Amino acid sequence: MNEPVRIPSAVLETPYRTAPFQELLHSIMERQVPPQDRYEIAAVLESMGWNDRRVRSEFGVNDVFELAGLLWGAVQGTIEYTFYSKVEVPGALQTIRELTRAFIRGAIFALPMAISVFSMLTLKFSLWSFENLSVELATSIAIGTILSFMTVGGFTQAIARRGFFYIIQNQFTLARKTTFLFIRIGFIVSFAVSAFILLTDMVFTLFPYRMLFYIVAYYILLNSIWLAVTAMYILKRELTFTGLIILGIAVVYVLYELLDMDIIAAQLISISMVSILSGILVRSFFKYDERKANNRTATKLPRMSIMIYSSMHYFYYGFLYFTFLYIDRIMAWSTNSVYMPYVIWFRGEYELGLDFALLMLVLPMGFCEVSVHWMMKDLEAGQKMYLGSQIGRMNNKYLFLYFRTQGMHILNAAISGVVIYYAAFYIDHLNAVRTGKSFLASEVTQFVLLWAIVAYAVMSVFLMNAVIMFALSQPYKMNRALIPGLIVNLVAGFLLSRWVGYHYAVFGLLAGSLVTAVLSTVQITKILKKLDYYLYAAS
Amino acid sequence: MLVSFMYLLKLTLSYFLLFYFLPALVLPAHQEYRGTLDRWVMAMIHSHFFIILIVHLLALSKLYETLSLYGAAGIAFVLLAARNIRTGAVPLGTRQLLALLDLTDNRVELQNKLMMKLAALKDRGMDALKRSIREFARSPVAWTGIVLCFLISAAIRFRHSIEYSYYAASDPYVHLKWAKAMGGNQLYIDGVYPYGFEAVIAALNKFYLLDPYYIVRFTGPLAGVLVLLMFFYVLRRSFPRDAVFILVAMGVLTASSWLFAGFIWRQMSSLSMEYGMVFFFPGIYFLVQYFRKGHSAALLLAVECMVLTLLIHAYVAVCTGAAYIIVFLLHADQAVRPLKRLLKLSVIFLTAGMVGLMPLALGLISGIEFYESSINYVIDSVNLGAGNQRSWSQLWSYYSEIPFFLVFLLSAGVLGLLTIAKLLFRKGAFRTEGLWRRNAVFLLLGGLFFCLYQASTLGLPVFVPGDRMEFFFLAFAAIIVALALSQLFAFIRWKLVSGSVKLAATCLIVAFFFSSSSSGFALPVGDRYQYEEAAQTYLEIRSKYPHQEWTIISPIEEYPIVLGYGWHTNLWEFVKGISERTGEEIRFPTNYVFLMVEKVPLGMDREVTEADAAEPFPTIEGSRLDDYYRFREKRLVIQAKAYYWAEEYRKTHSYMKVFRDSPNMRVYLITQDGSNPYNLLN
Repeated sequence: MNEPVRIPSAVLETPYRTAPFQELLHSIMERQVPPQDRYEIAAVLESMGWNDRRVRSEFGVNDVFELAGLLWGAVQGTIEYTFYSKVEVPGALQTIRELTRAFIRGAIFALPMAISVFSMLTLKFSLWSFENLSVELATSIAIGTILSFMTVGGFTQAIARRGFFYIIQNQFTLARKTTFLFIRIGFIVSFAVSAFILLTDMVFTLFPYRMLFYIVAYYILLNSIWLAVTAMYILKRELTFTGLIILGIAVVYVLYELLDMDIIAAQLISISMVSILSGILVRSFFKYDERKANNRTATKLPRMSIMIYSSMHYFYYGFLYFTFLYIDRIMAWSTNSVYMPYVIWFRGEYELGLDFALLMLVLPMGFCEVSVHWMMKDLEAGQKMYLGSQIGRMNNKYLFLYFRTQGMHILNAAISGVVIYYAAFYIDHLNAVRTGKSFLASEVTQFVLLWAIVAYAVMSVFLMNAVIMFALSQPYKMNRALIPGLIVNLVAGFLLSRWVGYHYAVFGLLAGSLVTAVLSTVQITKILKKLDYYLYAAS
Repeated sequence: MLVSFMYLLKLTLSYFLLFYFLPALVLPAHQEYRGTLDRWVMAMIHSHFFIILIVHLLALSKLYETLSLYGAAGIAFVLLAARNIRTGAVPLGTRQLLALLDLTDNRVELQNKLMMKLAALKDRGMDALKRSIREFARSPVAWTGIVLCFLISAAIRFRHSIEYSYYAASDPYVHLKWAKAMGGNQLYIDGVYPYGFEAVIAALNKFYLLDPYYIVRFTGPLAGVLVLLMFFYVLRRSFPRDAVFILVAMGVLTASSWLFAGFIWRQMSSLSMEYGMVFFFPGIYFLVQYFRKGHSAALLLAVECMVLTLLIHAYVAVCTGAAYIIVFLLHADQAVRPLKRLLKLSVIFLTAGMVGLMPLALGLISGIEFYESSINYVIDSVNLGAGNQRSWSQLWSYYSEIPFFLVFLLSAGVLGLLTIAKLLFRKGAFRTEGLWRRNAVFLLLGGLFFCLYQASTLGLPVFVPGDRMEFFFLAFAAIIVALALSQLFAFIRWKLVSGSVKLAATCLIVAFFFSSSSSGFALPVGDRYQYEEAAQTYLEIRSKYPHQEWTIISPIEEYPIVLGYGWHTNLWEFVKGISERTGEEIRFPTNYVFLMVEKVPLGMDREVTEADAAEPFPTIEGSRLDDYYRFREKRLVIQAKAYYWAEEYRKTHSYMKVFRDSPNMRVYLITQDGSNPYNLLN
């Protein structure tokens, strides 16, 4: 508690209004924003060359401390004055532009995935999948892919968090340094994991060497792609990456279809090319943005421990989320109805259902980006419209806004799910007419498609909650909701796939999503009920 | 050979990691049992107890697989580790995080800490080495002899599995099939049977994804060496300062490898009974320790050993039970005083018995019958009517002609007399420290297993086949000979002289063992149920061709080996199909089809002929389908038909090629599109 300011009545009015007083106040605020108390102001005054005699002659006060007291009062008054302000309402055009950009940004993230699925349907291959792979090869690629997501998932989140943090402040040099630091660590971890797998396999032969080569090759190359995607995402160059994916598929087409190369070799060459190109582009984009920003102030990163501590919850989230996303596949593919030679044995029927279902997230994610952008924008401006006594009203308003947004989001997800479900059957019908082959012929695929759509719809609820919590800098609360969900996903998926049928692992995904959605909603409700506190904490 | 060695090393490393190194990290150590050997034995018992039970539980609940095994082992590991970690005001997770954050800012500190850890590790290693050297220097001759005995014993047991790819007995093929079935959550595939051994194989397979074929190939001899190590442990703990005594016992046991080939033949192969023996000696030791010192840790270990033998093999369980009863009887004064202790022991052992018999009981309750071959064998082996009754003089003349028995009987007699004499005429340490009990335990156990082993010769009721009791008897015989020598020459106070005399006496005894034998001294040779080439072909196919995209058509022995990695069709079925041509197509929906044909049928000394192939397809009586292969004449016809069909077929079908050829057998390969396979009748 600060000491109350004692202002002599004689001078109470006079210096407060004078131009020199306002000038002095301005120069103090420039030097020390915001001063903590009158003693700090006194110290600043003395450092500026003010002494008792001078303040007496200039402002008619007894000493520096008295002037500091007056200035402290004025500082508080200034803050109080600016606390309550009218919000500038952006124009309709600007709003539409911003929201459209946010929607595209949200939806476009799923574009590479949509292109891959489209490529599979038309060309029978994509950048890292092929319709006629042997089960052994498909298993290798699946393991490499899942492992890559689980390994770099944390790094991508950390890059996104720290990268955005600096980019928002126009500190592109620091953003570049942070991004490349995490990419470097990501690669070190990837190589360490690869070395561990290779060494373990040398001793225990978990997989034959022919499989191991593909696991490690896909694992490392896909890791580099995911890291590059993240860098492009924070630099808002998602379309470039989509273009790279198309280019990669084109290269596979040339090598495999025209030059008759082995599909795996073609894919590996193409993925390597995309990775290298992505790396070069990311570096160029950063340099370009740095030059454009022309900000040369801070170029040194904070201590490593601070970097780790400030991004570790995001890192956990990334790891947990990607584990959550793939754990049902692991459960399904590891079900051994008969004796199995490996832990995981790829089942295409299950994967196909999930791949189609995943498309249903495109629209809700776009909507999520828009609604959260809107909500945060509103919050940023709207919080200034409330007095201290109106905190309850403010919190209730945003709680209501959240539930309204979430309701619309659920509706959107449900519509998207229905559309994708029927679209999948329609596309399958067209494909069957054209090629005589049906992707959805298997009952397992149909079953997984249906329930995965429901699961992803529920998942989109907690993804929205995650975005909101991240915006309020509360990632650990999201992790608290995600961990039980992950456990439920794992346990339910494991038991159902073993006791009922391997494809029932999809219910694990659904159950886990439900748990996480409910828990994250509870967390977000708690946050919004104390929004004032969390806004203060986030600042 | 080199590849075999590599796989043996791999299996040994995997085995010790699962059953020793990992559990030893977290298992609490009793003050009395802190030595390296103690920790190894305790880890072996506890980890086997845990692994076998958890595999059974998971398989019964249809949840057994790599993930659930990792999960269960991980939870157990963490729970045990948590007991060892002291908790403070700051939670462990936070402490670790802070340490990590500190280290990221101070890499020098990280290096220093790593160097300190390495230095501490080095110091511990050096201390252990120094201790070992000091111990060795105390009795260099004895220790050299002990090590030699181990090396010779290991070489004898491992020779077959390293030299040959096929198993040395028929049972390993069955254990392989059962272990793989367990891996697929099928517990009672051929009926009710103790599946503890299969649980160990299945655990090694699931934990490391090692091919069970290799596990079964090497686990038998490995178990043989483990039994010897346990035997050594019991001797070392019972006579900690007498390396010469251990050498004498080990020497007698090693020498008996040439005299009693039966137990060596058994220990060359993966057999559940031999595996169960690993826990026989420590069980007895820990029960004695419990009565001597009252450590509950020792009682727990003894009980676990009892349960393990019940879970692994009925005969070992019977032997362990009988041995425990003798130990009880010899410690009756301690067992019943106070009466509460007797009650406690009764409850504990009854509970242990229930746990050990639970898998069998659950199987029977489910309406599944005992494994037919096994139960028939057990029933057929029992002979309550007793064998030929012989007079004492007849028995003496019989046993006195066999040097080993003679030495054993004389040693037992001398030791018995010495024990009684010391008990009667000497007061003090011998009586109060219970040394007479130790002698009596070994004497009575030696007597018991001699009677069980020689039941039919002695005219006693036969409960267990004699050959199964051979190793039990030999082990106690070795101890009794060593004890008799040790106590006979105990009057010599000068250690060097005493040791030299004992060693010289041992050399004479061993020489006497080999002085006469009616059946010679050759080490046993393993049986053969498939050609070496057949096993080698499987290994080549498995390493070169994608899993589950190939089919092998061959006799039944390859079936359990192939299971899970590829597909298998019985040769007789295939031959019947191509011979009888009932109109049904013969297609194999895999990209590669291998047909294994014996040019010289196994067990015969001539090649198949066209005349053999012209014979009608053989018929069998009863339900045993392996009769098609067991009976030579049937095997001959089947192989001949397959051979001449294949030779004819490949002349007109270019997709069928010779994959492997040897004087004994020829393997054909059909390469096709598995989704659109050829009809082999066209």
